[in-house]
Amino acid sequence: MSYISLYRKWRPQVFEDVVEQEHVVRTLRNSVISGRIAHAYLFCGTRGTGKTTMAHILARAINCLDPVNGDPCNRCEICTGILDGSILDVIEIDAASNNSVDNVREIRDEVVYAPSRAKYKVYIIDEVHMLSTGAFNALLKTLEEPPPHVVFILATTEPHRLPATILSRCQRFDFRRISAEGIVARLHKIAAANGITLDADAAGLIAKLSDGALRDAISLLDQCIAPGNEVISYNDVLSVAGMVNDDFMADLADFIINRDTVSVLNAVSELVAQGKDTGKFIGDMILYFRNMLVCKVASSPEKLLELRGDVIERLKKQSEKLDHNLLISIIRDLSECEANLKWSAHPRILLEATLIKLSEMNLNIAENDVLTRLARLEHIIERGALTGAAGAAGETQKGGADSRPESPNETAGIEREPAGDDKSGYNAENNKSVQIDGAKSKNSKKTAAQEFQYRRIPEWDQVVTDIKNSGRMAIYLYLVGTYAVELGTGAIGVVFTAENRTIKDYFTKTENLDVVKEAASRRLGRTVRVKFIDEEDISGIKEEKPDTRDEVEEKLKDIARRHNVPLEVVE
Amino acid sequence: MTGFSDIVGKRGIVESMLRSIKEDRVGHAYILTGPEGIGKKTLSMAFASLLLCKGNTFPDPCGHCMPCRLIPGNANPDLMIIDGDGKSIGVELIRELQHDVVVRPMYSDRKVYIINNADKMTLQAQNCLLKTLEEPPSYAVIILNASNMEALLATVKSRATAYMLKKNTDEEVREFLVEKYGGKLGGLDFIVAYADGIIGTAVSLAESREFFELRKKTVNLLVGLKNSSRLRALDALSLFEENRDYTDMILKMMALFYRDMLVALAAGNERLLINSDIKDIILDNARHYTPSKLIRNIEAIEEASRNLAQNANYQLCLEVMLMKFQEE
Repeated sequence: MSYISLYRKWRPQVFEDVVEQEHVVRTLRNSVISGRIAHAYLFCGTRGTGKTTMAHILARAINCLDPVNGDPCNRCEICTGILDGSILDVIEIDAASNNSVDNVREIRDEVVYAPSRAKYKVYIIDEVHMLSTGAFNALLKTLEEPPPHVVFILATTEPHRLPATILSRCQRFDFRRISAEGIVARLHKIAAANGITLDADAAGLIAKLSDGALRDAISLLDQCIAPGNEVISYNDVLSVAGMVNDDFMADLADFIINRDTVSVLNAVSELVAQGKDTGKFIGDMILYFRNMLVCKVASSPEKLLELRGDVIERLKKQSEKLDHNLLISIIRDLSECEANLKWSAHPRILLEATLIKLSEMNLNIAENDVLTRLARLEHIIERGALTGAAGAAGETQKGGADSRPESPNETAGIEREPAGDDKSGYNAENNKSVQIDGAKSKNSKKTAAQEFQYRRIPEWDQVVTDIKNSGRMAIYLYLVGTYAVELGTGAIGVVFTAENRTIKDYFTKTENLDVVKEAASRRLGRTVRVKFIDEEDISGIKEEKPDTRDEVEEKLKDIARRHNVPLEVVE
Repeated sequence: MTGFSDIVGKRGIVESMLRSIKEDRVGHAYILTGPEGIGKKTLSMAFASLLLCKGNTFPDPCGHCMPCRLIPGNANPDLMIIDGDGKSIGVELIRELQHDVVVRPMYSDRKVYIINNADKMTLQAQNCLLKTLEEPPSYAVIILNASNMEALLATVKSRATAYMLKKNTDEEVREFLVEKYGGKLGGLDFIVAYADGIIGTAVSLAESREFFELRKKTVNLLVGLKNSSRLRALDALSLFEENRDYTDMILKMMALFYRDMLVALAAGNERLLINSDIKDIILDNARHYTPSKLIRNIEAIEEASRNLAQNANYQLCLEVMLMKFQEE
């Protein structure tokens, strides 16, 4: 019952004790010394920077009977009276709870009465941003020209919510965030007074976590002391703040870089089991990758990062494995996740999904580089358009296969696919010289065996390498020594030679098939289906819709016969 | 009568609280935070009961003294519990607290104020509380229970000692269930896994048989959606309409099902699955998906539940989500 929280106990009683805020202290002190007291002050700044404290000190300083160099003596009857609340001339109002016009009218009615014992009647209006519009306006006249014995001190964290007419009537003081050094010094002082040893890096961490707010810092210290620790270490602070330690984060980053999804998920369940806050964790993780990015781009990151040497070393090593564009995209993904997490009903699932996304897809290093991908796409389009146009030209002009720039079948693959049956029919009737795709054209002049050759897919080797790079070693090994051919209508065939045909069975499992399919689709830049075939099957394999094809072929032949046109079926 | 001995796990926090009472270092403001059902209310009640108890039976309240006897009927004037009216906690309730806090305690040395769902406090309410929270009368202790810390103002957070309630380990949940319901409880493994370390969830699962039925329907629905070429999204809505009170639950089941398939695809490790009792179905279906599709589905669920929370049109929201599931 007698216990008072450290942050209340250690509230400064004189200007001297206020941590930093020298710009405010100097001005106020001088005005106390010279007796030039303004009638309205406005203190603003983030939480825990000393606004209310300063207001209390100022209220005493201007009333003190025996001020010492502008500071209140805290011994005279006025000071003690104000401190123990027996003097009613310092009135502290919680504007958040008393925010109506009526409350302000009460003030207005009271200010006309002279102070009972002190020199000035001081109104401290805390959280002033919560006053209603009506209340603000009701205050205006009083605030501008109060009786000479009245001083208003308004304090708020959100000055932007005050009307301009209020702002312009006050002397405004902006309280800055307190620097880490200032907080550390204060923490050490408090810890020493409580007989507690505070490690230097623990103090540093508290300062970092409290983000310039001294009250947060002291609260945290209080909380670290609560379990009865005599010595407070870095790890104590981490556990009280619900944070993970640096090693955990570094390990997790390693797992992501190495695409070790199982370990990533295990790490998440460990995190959840320890009851860590996912939102906070992902914030830390963003910071970690940000530091990695700094290590990547800065020549001497030690100067920019306030971290332990070994942590920086590890960051540097990790940063070497990742491209900086990739790091930026990781940070972007994580930030998106952080924003969603705030309102998420299933934070764990979201976190897992994001991390899997990072470890599964984002880190296909060359793949994810948008520029590389774009370049590849451009390449494909360029080549495709060129050969396509040439092929079409060749077809209409000569109707022969010789004029095609690359292997004849390649053009055929590109050109024929969208053309479909109608076009062939159209050609047959108009050009009177027809070529038809088809593997089984036995009555053509050139035999199918000679002319027909499935187009080999040159990128297949890269597809296999991609699979290897993505860590699917088993699949990679099975694919060594194979090649792939275009089967038309979005399908490709992976061809196994006679000696390794037994391996083919391995790919009857859908999951293995999917890996190949995905890798091939990504490399080829279009969605493909994958079939696994033996080398000897290759001549006998049918097109995707063999029946319709044959029908068309028959029809065309029929038309050709009737028109007495020589029909040549190639491929 | 809730005592600290009823608390499962959370040793660090319990010790810290007991110690603060023993050493007379009890702070004036606390925030207890952690996921729903983790035991914030239970813990705050235990703490409050012990603070108010006049007996000498540390670490549990005696249960015989006047304050102890009055607590169960919520008749102790030294204990005020604010629950709010569902959607939010308005400034009126906080003003009530402020009027009450200046009255000295009646029976005990302290007065305890517990605000449940403190994250539902409106901005005005939080601001209104600030001054009281910082410097309440010496006998007052204010405990805020909040599952979403983000919804509290920074100025509120900085004034209170925050305790993060950790999830229980699966072992602790299992022991608790066995003790409470006996070893015969069906689907114990699954409940433990689904509760995800949260006692509250475990209890509600154990007490509702419908839950399994609902999950079966949900899983069937998702499998059906995947395997049907027709646009089934509009028919599928009926599941939601029939179980409208359980919408959040169904969404969670869906998210967990997709999550499990994602884990199965990405990690191939069965141990990490939450729906471990239906792992056949999961493994069987997972291979029809790509990881990115599953992630997109999970994101669609997230989006839907966010929109629902913001009072978007119920039917539209869910239909859009279901159609997204069917998209390739």
